[in-house]
Amino acid sequence: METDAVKALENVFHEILGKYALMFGDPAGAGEFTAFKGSFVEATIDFIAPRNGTLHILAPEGFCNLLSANVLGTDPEDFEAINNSQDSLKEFGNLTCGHFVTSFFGSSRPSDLKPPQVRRLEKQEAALEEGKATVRFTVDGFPVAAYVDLL
Amino acid sequence: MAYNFLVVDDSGTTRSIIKKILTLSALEIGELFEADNGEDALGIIKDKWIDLVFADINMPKMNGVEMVQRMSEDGLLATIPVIIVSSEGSEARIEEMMGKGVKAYLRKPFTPENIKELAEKILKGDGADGN
Repeated sequence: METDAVKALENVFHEILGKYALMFGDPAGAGEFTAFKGSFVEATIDFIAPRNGTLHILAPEGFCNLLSANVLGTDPEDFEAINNSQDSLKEFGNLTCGHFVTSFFGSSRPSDLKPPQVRRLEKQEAALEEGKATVRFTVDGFPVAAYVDLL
Repeated sequence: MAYNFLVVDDSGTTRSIIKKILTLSALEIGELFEADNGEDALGIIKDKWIDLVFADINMPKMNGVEMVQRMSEDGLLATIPVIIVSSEGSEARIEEMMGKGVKAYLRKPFTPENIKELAEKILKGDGADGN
């Protein structure tokens, strides 16, 4: 992934995490994921822009619960937070993608986002996906990674 | 006067947030309807009295663009105000939706104040016609 795109994704990631969920991330190394015990979730969003692509956000399920709780104004143990945890990651991905596209390509260029998808990953898959990541953070103790496949 | 709202978004989280904001606003709430795609939303709009619609763009089955287009082609549905709430921010998209007659375009992530102020402006007749 090109340097400009990595920078744009990094900036947008921080901006959206703060505005959407009032959360903040610290830079993290590649080893944080492989060292983390637990299952992972990945949100992907396809976009059509001057260059088409797909944005990927990868995080542990615990992060998704916390994200959901923050966004909904409840506790991570609440049924509402748990029930919406994967959806919250999808929506976080959706917002990040929308802002990445206008940040990187400019708002004067037409673009289109597809509905986001989410899936649970086995540890091996998570490690593979994480290996492609260009943006890695620790958010409240959870490793979160993201990257964009640009065509 | 109590108002009926329809919130259309494939994200259950976003629908919950908007509904909570409306419930806590100064507006008197009649009924809060929701749908996760444009097609189901049109079914609700044709069946129930709706005073204001909040609609996402990128949804499965029928997206917000098509939903608003269908509403604009119906004499009665065209009178129902729509606020688009989307992560997309291209000028082309905003112009497209405003051209189809939506009252406002609000980019996600939004604040509770954004939702409340727009809803109050539109329902109390000050209009919006902006983003």
